[in-house]
Amino acid sequence: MKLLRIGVTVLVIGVSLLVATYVRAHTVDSGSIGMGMDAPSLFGPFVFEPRTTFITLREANPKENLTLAVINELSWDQTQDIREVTPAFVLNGLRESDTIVFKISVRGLYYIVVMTEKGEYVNPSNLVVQQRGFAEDLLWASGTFVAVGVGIVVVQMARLLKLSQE
Amino acid sequence: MTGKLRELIAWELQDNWAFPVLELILAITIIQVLPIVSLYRNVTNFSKPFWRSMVYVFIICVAVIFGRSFGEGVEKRKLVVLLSYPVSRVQVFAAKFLANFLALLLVFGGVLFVEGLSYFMFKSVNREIYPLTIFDLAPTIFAFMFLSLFLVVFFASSLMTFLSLAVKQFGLSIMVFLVYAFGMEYWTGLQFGTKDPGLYLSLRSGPNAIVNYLRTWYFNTLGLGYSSTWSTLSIFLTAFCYLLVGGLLLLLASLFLMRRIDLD
Repeated sequence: MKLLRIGVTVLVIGVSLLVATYVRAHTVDSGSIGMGMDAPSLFGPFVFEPRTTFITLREANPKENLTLAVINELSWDQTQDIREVTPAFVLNGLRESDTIVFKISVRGLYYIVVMTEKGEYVNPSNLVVQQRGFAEDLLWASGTFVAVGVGIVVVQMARLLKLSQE
Repeated sequence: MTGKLRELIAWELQDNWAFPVLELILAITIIQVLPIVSLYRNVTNFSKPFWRSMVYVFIICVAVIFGRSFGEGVEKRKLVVLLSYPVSRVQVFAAKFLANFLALLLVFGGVLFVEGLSYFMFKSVNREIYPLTIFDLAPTIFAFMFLSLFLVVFFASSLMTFLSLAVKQFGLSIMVFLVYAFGMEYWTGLQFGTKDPGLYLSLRSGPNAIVNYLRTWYFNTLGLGYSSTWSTLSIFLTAFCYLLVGGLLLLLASLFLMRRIDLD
């Protein structure tokens, strides 16, 4: 009986998590964020979930041939040198007012760096970050909870049915 | 913990948290808390929406759990049956209060913990690289949120326990509690401006003010920089004392009622 209760509780957690994942699939927006003349174009850290991310370069100087890199916080903090880090996502040849769409694979804290093709920081720059859609890790977590819960409930029900027949 | 108290706690959990009470509370809490999402980890983006969406969950869950435990216990004479065993009234009171209070704290705290993990609550920004700002204190913010959560659940539990024992009826005690709790939320919103300490008698604004004040105090005291906040010392003391001292007084009053209550 106790195991059946545990199964039901796990199932309820899974279903609730699924509902919460659906509700939190709405768009979150950073608003327009900019950097001063003296600061390098380093933005963040942002909490990025594994869902569709949009970054719009609203303003940049120079206006063409820009490189945008999304770098994990841990990686950036260790070196602070764009040549030594491995970005989670990087795109070259961008122009002012371009929008980039990509998906981060792992939830984490990330910085966004805007540079010229030569690796110089862009000053000043202004961008907007958005995240939309379902967070994939939460979908997987809720699916796992539901599957484990259903599994426990079915096994326990079958066992109880067998006991009642005997 | 004595063996008797442990047995009483186990009995209370089995009786009062039977299917589907735990499941419903878990579902409501998860659906209310986890949809809070933000790209930033500051107090405005996390603490404020958490208290705003959780206030009704706190009130309703505490009303049902403590109303059933104490109000229904007296009304349906479950307490009489329980006291026919060799246990004192203080032991029964302590077991019931502790079991329900800790279980509620575990559910709410667990969901806050999961939400905190999704915001990397253990991780602060590396201040050797960047000048630390007040917005970067994620671990501290979460620590103060857990403290505020404890205070809110403690106050609401003590109030509902007191009302259940004073009124001795499940339905009526819930009604009085809901009228008081929702009434306070409504009344404080109408009566006071944002700089008035009276506003922070609300279970929605009070905890947020505590988190804000403590976070700024921590930041300034440790010499990490200087920051000011709208949450002044008088606002903090109003919210903190209302929840802690109010909760303690109501708990003592409930204990007094439990010892004197006529169960026949």
